[in-house]
Amino acid sequence: MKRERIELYKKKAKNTWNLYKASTMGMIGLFILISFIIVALFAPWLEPYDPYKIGEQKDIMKPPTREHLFGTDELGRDILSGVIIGSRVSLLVGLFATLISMVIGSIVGLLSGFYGKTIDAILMRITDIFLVIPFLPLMIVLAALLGPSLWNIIFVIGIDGWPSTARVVRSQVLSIKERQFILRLRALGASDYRIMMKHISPNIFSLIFANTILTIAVSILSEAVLSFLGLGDPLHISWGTQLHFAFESGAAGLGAYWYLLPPGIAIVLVVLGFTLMGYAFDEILNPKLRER
Amino acid sequence: MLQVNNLSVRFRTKTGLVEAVTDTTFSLSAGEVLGIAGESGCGKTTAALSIMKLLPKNGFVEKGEILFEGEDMAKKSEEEMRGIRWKRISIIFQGAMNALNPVQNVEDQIAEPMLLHEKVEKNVAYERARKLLEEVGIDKRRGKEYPHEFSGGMRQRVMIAMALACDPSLVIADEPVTALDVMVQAQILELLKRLQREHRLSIILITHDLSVLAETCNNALIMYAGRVCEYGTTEDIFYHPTHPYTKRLISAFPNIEKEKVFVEGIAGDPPNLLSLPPGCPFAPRCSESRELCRKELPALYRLSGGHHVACHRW
Amino acid sequence: MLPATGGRMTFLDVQNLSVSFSSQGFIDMLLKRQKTVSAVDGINLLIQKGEILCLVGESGCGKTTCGKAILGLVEYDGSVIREGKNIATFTKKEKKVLRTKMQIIFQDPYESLNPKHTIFDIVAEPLEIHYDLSEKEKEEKVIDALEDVGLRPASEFLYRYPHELSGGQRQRVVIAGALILDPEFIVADEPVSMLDVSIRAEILKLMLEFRGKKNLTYLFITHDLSLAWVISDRIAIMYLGKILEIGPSERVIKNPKNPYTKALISVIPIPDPHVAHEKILLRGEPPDPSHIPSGCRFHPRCPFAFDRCREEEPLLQDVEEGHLAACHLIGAIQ
Repeated sequence: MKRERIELYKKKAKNTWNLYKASTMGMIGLFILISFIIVALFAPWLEPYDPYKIGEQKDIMKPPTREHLFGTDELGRDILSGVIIGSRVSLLVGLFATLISMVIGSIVGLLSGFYGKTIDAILMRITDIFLVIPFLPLMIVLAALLGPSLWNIIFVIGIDGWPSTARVVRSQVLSIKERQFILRLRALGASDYRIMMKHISPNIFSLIFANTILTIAVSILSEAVLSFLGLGDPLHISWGTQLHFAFESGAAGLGAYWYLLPPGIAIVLVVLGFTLMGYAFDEILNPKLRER
Repeated sequence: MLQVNNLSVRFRTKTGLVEAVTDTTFSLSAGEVLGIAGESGCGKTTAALSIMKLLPKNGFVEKGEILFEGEDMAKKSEEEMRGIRWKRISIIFQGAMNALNPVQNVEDQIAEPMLLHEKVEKNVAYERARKLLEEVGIDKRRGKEYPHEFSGGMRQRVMIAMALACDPSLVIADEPVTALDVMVQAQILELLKRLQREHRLSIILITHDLSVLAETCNNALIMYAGRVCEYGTTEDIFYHPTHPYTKRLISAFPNIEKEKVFVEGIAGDPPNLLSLPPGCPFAPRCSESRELCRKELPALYRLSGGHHVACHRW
Repeated sequence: MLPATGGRMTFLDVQNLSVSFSSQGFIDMLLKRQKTVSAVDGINLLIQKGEILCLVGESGCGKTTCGKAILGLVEYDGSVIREGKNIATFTKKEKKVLRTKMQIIFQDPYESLNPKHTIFDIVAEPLEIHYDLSEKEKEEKVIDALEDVGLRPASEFLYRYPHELSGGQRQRVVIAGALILDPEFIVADEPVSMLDVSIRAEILKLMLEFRGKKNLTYLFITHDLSLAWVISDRIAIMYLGKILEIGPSERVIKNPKNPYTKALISVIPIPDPHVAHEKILLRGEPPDPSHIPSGCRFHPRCPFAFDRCREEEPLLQDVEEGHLAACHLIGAIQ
């Protein structure tokens, strides 16, 4: 009855959590991510200053002091506040772009792997085309055409990411498709839709999940790269744009480490967090890796 | 030439200590074929692997002695074992057909153990390899071919040739014909019988199929949950089965020379080697069990000659 | 047409069933080269209601493909006729209903169940596919089905996962899933070959029980001729896609007429250290289905082959009541 099923899920969740807890790397990653998520959520309350407020002449490019823990930038803005508010953009772009690429990638992979033949051929050729298109030139072209807005960045990163997900999902679907329990379901009269949704999907879920975590890390990095190159949204502060303006204003030459390090380290930490988490989940979902 | 006394083998697992083999005693004389039979998990493969000390990392011999040609294998070091493996005792693994190296031709694979273990010239080794191929019924001109170019039955023959490469005195065959079609199975068994005669081999044949055992072995050891149930010549086992498990197991194999009788099974579940009940491990499923059976382990009792049984009814 | 046996009604009339697979690669496609492997070639079967018919043969003979074709799981040529109507002419809806009447049980109990679903889900699924039942009705039916196959108390098994069950228990779950729809016909493809010997009989007894209780008809596929002898009413011996001999199991085993059948029977291992008969060991192995010999498919390995065998394929002919065999020697040496 329903109650037993709920009990079953609770037990499964508890088991998974216990397994996760056992992984030190996973816990470190989780800690890092939760910290950043809290920062992003409560940014307006955490930031000591308005990150966009231009400072006075005397406050330009000043090293860390008690008033400005991370110092100031070339416009006199507080860098710490910048890093705090920047977390929102970085995480949001990462999340949304990943959402786009996972959804498109999973659907394409699922349909391609399941139906095979012509649909597979067509979808895979489309996938190949997208795989081959170089990321940066595409972004440059789109920025030129559509203007460098946040949504364009999300769109481009998402579009760049779906092909590899599609291929991974497709190969997993292909291997599950041939398993005896699927054939049995056909014999029972199950429709394609039912087989895809109720049977193949749960079995590729763990794969998609692990893939998602890593994709988020890659997306955040991609956003940082794009913004650093100046293709990002100049109206919103992100770590990438901070680095961009840092270089633009010659911070490297001036030895203004306080401007370069914080956004850079933030990027590294967040990507590390997701990678560690992905690693921990991979170990849980792939029990064979555990026996070492 | 082989005497195993009170062998106990354990496996350390995350969920506990698995009693794979407990207190098992049997022997094999030169030139004989001993069949070890039982169902999955009964310990037959483990017992055989311990003779060659090929247990996985988490397995160990808790106690007992394995006397091969007078020497106790259980006390040998890994280095000493390396000198014995393949030279004096060799093994044909279960699923042997997949144990071949796909990127090496068959000739190379048969010659390799010879080159490793014996000081022979390369061309001598290859001559012998080709001769072995012919002995197992493969045209020696096919020596340069790769495993995937052979059928399942032929690959099994290659495995047999490999096992004989260094002219061992004892060959352990672990389910050598299980995955093969019945006609190929018969061919391979004939081959084994012929090779055994010609090379005067002693063979330990591990199988779950009692009919195969009846046709190829001189002696039989029936195991259940890691313990010996019954032990004796094949005549003893098939004409005078004493242990209830032996009797039920035999009736699970149809005999087309007799009247058609429906196969018998054994109710209940296979034993859990992590938590065996006290007393006889077969008691929960035994139709003839009594109070005593659930409390105390039966000792191996000698019925007559070489026929032993472990059951409280005797 | 083949004569019916035992006075039973014909349930399924399989006519001229052929299944071939295309192993055409991309280059072959460009060169318009057809590469087909014929797995089943013109099989005729009159399956009687309530009987257990065994398809026996070595690997590659096409027996599994035959079973799948009859259930429409692979594309085939020929006709499968049920109650006078050719299944191929059924509408989509009728075909779906047919699925409730004709089921399959596979060999591997470890692979037949979705590892992510609970036992309840697995056994309830057929009901969800075909009927619209309330939660309570579903649960009742699932519990009944599980208890019918000997998994008692059913409540203990409902919310377990396949990996928590033994091989025998899993196979029972598969059977429960097949029987919950109240089918008339079951194709069982080596249903016990992956189970421990002592468990096999239990599962087979279960299947036979249902034949009686629910008037089921079985097409049992196996390579184990002695097992076929024990449980079936009729045996059909297959070789490279053709039936070489078919008849009541007692007659086929005790009075085989085709040399292949005779050889197969002679090599069946007997659980007796002193074997009475001589074994006919054939040379070599069955050729692969992409290189089918001319004339009688068995002639390259047949100890009695002569000229005619190389040129002409023998047809199935009457040997005795209900027993047919295909061999040019029949009638010649009697």
